Amino acid sequence: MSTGRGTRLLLVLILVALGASLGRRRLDVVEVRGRSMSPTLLPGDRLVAARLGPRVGDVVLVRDPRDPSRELIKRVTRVDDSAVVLRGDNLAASTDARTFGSVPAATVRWRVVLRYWPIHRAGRLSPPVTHGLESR
Amino acid sequence: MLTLRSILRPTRIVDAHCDIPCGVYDPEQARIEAESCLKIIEKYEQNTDEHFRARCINIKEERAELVKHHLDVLWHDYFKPEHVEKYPDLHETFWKATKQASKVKQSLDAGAAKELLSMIDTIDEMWKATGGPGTTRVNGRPS
Repeated sequence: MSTGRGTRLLLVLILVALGASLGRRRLDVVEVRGRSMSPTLLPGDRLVAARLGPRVGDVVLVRDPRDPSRELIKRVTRVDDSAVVLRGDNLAASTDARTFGSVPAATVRWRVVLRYWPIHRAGRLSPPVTHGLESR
Repeated sequence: MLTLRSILRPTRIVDAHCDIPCGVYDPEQARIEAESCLKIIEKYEQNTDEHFRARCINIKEERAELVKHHLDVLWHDYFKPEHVEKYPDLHETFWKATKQASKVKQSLDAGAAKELLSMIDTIDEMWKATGGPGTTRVNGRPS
């Protein structure tokens, strides 16, 4: 990676400070619970999310369509005109579009931009890991 | 006052949610992939066709990666802190076994693959002694 850890951390701090100054309407910080996004995200990981629309490959935040009191974190695998398909990176242990179908694109308003905690894994998120399970 | 601590404190929890983790954990899964590695190494040694041998290497590396994956899942999802109390060398055992799987991925040494099998068997003993078959296998599975 060309960006040094110090540079990355500085970038995160600037972004978060900016978000805080805007009253967290554009940027926010969240903590992960659960393992459906492992190994990309682990419980306790802290992330910076930006108020941006979904693109394929993004990790996004969305209200659980079956339980609005809960906010989910999943990866976007498909975007149509008005619908977004979500999957957990840990396919063996994730409840996602396979169970609740696609969600309206308008409801996906937060995109994860960076992890800042734990510091040794700070930075941009890695793409999904497949473990070669699909080829079996 | 806007402190660094207050800026970095998460405002909300987001759920990497799963309705029903299946709860099925079995070292057999890792062992079958490790057996594949050993058999493939043997087939590699018995064949001189370079394309066949290239495919052997490719498949062996894939299977060795799956061994690591299955051992990781057992390690962080099945085994609990109380099991570590019972087996203080549990972490060390998994660390060595996954390292051995990396070695098998890199090499064409049948001895390394046999060593990996015996390490998985050690993990299997810990799994059995902690009630693994009773709690994670579906009742009535033929042995």
